[in-house]
Amino acid sequence: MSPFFLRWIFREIKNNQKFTWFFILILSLGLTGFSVLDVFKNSLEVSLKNSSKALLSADLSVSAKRFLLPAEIATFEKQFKTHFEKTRVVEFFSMVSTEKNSRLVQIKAIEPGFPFYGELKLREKKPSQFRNKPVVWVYPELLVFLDLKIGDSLRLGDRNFIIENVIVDDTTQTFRTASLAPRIYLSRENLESFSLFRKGTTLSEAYLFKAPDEKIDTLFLKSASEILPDPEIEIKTSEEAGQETGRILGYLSDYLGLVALVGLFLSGLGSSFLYRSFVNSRLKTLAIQSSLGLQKTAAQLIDLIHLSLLGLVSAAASAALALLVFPLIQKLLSEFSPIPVQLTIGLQTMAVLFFMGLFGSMLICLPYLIPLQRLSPSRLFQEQTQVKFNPKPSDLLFYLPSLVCFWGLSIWQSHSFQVGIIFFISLIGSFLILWVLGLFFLRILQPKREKKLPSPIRQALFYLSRQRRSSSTAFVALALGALLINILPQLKSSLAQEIQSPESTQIPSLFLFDIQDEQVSPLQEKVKSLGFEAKDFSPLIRARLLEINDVAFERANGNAGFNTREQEVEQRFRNRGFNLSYRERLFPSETVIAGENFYGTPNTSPSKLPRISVEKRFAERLGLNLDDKLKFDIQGVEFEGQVKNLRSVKWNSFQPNFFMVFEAGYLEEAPKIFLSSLYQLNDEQKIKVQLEIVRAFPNVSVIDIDRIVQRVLQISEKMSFSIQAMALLSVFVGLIVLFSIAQYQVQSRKQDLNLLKILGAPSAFLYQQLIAEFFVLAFLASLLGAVISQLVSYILTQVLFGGLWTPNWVWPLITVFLIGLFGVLLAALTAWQVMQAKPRDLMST
Amino acid sequence: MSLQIQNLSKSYPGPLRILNHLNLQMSTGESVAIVGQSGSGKSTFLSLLAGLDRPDHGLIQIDGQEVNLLNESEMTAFRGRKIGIIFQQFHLLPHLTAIENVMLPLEIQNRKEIFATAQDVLSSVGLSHRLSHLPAQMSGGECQRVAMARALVISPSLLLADEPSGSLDVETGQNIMDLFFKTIQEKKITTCLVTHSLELAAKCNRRFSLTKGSLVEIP
Repeated sequence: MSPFFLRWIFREIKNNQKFTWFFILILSLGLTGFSVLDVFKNSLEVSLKNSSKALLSADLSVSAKRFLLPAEIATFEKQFKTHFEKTRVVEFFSMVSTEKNSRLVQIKAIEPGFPFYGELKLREKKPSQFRNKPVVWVYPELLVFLDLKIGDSLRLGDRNFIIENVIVDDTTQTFRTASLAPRIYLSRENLESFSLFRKGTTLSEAYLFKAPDEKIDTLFLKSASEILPDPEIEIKTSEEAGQETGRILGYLSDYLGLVALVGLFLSGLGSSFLYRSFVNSRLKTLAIQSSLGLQKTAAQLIDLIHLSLLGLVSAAASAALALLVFPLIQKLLSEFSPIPVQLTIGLQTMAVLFFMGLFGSMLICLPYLIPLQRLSPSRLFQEQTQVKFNPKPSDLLFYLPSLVCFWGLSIWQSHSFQVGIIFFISLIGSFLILWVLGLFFLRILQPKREKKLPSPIRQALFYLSRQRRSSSTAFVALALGALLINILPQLKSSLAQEIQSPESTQIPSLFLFDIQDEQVSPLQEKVKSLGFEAKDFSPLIRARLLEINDVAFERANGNAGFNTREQEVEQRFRNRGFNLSYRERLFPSETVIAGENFYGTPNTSPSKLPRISVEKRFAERLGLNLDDKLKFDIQGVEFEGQVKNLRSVKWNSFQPNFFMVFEAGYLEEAPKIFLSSLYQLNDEQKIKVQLEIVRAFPNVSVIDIDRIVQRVLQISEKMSFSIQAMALLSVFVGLIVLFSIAQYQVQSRKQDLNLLKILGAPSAFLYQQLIAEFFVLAFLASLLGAVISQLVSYILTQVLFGGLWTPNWVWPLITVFLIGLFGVLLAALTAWQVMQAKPRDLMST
Repeated sequence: MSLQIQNLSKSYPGPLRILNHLNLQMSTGESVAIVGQSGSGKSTFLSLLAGLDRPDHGLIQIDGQEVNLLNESEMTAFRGRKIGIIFQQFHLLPHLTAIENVMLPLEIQNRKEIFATAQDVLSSVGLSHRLSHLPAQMSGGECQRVAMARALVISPSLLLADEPSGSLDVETGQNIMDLFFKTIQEKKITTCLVTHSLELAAKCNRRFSLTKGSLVEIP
C-alpha cells in the first residue's frame, strides 16, 4: 500500500474523530452480544466435551425405558472386538416416606463399577455397607425436605433403608434445574427384594460400557443400531451424552443469539446512518479529489481500508467489552450448567469477531460506497454551496448483501431454518412497519399554521417532521429496542399467569402415576376415605410405533456437523417409545381442531380401525395427517389404528394428557398403568394424603403440582434473566445509537442552532426546543414499540402457546417513561454542548 | 437609530490587533459601507456590532444602549429586537419554508400576527409566490431574498449585511442589492454593509476602508 493511501486514511481518522469514535462504539456494542455468546457457547462446549465421560459415567451406554433383555445385550456385545467392562443402572421415580412426610425421588440402583468415570463424592469418609445392607446414599436436599440426618431410616416401597451417607458431588448429574426430585443411590441387589416394580412401572435401565482402547465411532454406532433396531433402545456415546446435557443450554443460547442479533441489527442501523452522514459531509472533498485526478477506484479503496480498520478496532473493543461481562456469564452458567465451566475468549471467537467486524462494516456501508462511483466533479461548478448526491432507487439493491448475510446469521444462531426465517422476517417486517409508521407519525407532527403552540415546541415539531430521514433512523432504533425489551416480560407474565391459574381449567394439587390396574378401585376408595376424590383416571400404555401407512417407522441417526433443531427433534421423536391412552370423552384442556369429534359416536369408518386422536404439534413433527394408518407394537402384540382427529392440548392444565389417544373399547385389555389427579388440597392436606397413599400403595408416585409450578417459574425466571440481560444490551445499543445520532446531528446542526442564537433565541428557547425534539422522538418511538410489542406478544402466544395472552401494561409504561426520560437527558446534554458554541463562527462562513 | 463606536479594539491570541481604537458614528437611516482586504477584520467588526463577541476595549452604543455592558442573555434579547443580519451564505434553516424562516425571529420574540407580517415582508421582496417552498427548492437569489426578509421582518434599528451578493451571479446580485438599497432607504434603516465591491459601497451614504485595524473614510 502506498504511503499516500496510509497518510490519507490516518488523516481521515484524525479529521473525523467524532465519526470514528461513534462508529467504533456502536459497532463494538453490537458485536459484544455476539462475542459474549460465542464465549459462552465455546466454553460450554469445551467443558462438556471434557466432562462428557463423567456425565455418562462410561464410554458407551445402551438403555431403554424397560428392562433390557439379556439376549439384546448379548447381541450388542458381539460387536466388540475386545472385552468391555460393563455395569448396569436402573433409574425410576418413586416415593420415599418417613413417619411425618413423603417425597418423590429419583432412584438410581447401581452395580459395582459405577461410575467408570467421574465420581460420587460422599460427605463422610467411612467404610461402606452399600453392597450388602439396605442402605442408601442421598442428596443433601432430601435431608432438609424430610428433616432427616445420616443414620436415620426412610421407607422405600415396602422396606426401610438407612441413610448411610450424603452425596455432596455427583458428576453424573446432568441438569440441575431440570431435576424435580432429589436423587437416591442404592445397590441394585436391593431392587430384587422389594415390591416397587409392577407391570408397566415407569423406569429405565442402562448398560454402561467402558472401552479398553477401541474407538467408538459413528460407523460402529450405525451398525449397533442396525443390530438393535428397536427405536426404544437408545445407544449413546459419552460425546452424545455431553451434547444432550448441553441441549437445554443450547436452546437458551439460540434465543440469546437471536436477541443478540437484534442488537447487531440496531448497531448496523446506527453505523450505516453515521457512515451516510460521514459520506455526505465528504462529498465536496471527494469531488475535489476526483477533479484533481484521483481515480474513483483508488478513492473507494481508501474508504474500504478505512472501514476495515474501524471494523477491526470495533471487533477488538467488543472482545474487551465481553471480558467485562464475564462475571455475569459466570453467574448464569453456575445457575444452569451441571459442570464447572472455564470462560475463555478462544481463537475461534476472535476469528468470528474480526470476520464480522471486517466484512460487517463493509457490508453495512456498501449502499453508500458503491453509488459514489456516480459522483461527478462537475457538481463543483454548480451553484449550490454544498455538493449533494442523489440516490437512485436501484441503490437499494446494495442493501441485499447485508440482508442475505443477516438471514444467514439468523439461521446460524437459531440452528433452525424455520425459526431463523421467522425471526428474520419478523425483524425486517417490524423494522419496515416501524419505519413507515415512524415516518407517518413524524409527518403528522408538523404543526398547522393556525395551531397555537409555544415557539420552541413548534420549531421542534418542524424539525422532526421535516428532517424525517435522520429522525426516522433514531426513531426505529429506539422503537425496536422498546419492542424487544417489552416482548420478553410480556411473554413471561402471560406464561406465569397461565401456569399459575390457566383460564377455563383448574390445576390439580397432586398428580398420581404408576397406578396398577387392580389398584384403581382401592385407590379411589382410599382417597374417598380421606375426604377427597381421585379424578381424571387415565390409562397409559407403552407402545412402539412400527409403521405409518404401511411404511416402516425407522430409527433416525444423527448427522455429523450442523444439525438444525428441527432435525434434532425429529431424531429424538423417532428414537423414542410412545405412551398411548384411551378415553370416552375429552378433557376440558383438550379441543378437537380438525377431523371428527368421535367420542361417544359409533365407528362408521370403512376400515373399522380404532380411531385415534393426535395432538396437533405431535402430528406436525411426525408428519401425520387425518386418515393416516398407524401400526403399534404393544408388548409384542401388533395393533393398528387410524388418525381421525387432531387435538390442541393445554399442557399447563397438568391434567393427564397424551399425544395419542385411542377411542375407548379397543385397548382395555393391554398392559397398562393409570394416572390420576387430586384437586383443591391445601399444604397440610397434601402432606397427609400423600403419606397415606404412599403407605397403602408404595409403588404409586405422587407429584406435588404446586412445587412443579414454582420450579417451572424459577427456571423461566432464570432463563428470562439471561435473555433479559441480552435484551437490555440491545436496548442499550438502541440508546447509544440515538445518542450517537444526536451527537452527530448536533455537529451538523451547530450552524442552524447558532443561527437561532443570532436571531435572538435565548438559552431557554434552545433548551426547550431540543428537549421537546428528543422527548417527542423517544416517547413516540418507545410508545409505538411498546404497543407493537403487545401485538407481537399476543401473536406469539397464540402461535406458540395456544393463546395465553394476558395484558401487562406496567412494564411497557415504565419503559416508555424511562426511554422518554433518556431522551430528555440526552437533549439537556446536547443543548449544553450547543450553548458552548460561539455564534460568531457563523460570520466567517 | 444612532450608532456610536468609540475607541473599539479587539485582538485574538497572537501579536496582531484586529481592530485598533476604531471610531464610528452613524445617524438614523444612514448607510455605511466597510471595505477591506480579506483578513482585515470586517467580520470581527460585524460580530462586535451584533454583540456576538466582546471587544477588548471601547464602547458600542446602539440607540443609546451601551451594548457591551449587557450580559449574554440581555444581548441576545436586544439583538433579537433591534438588529437584523444578512449573511453571505444566507444561512436559512433547511427544514423551514420561506415563510417559516421569516416568521422565526418574530416567533422567538413571541410577537403577534406573525404570519401576516412575514407574508407582507416576503411580498415586499417579491416572493409572495414562494411562501411554502423550502430553501432547497429555491434559487440562490431567492434564498438571499428570504434571508433579507428575515432580517427586515423585525423592523431592525440596525441592519448588518455581510457581502449579501457575494454568493450570487452578477445579475442576481445586482437585483438583490437594488432591492436592498430600495428597502433600507424606504424604511430608513441604519445599515452597515461589509463588501469587497467598491461599486456597491458607492451606493451607501459613506464608505470606509478597514486597514490595519482602523476605519479610513473613502471620499
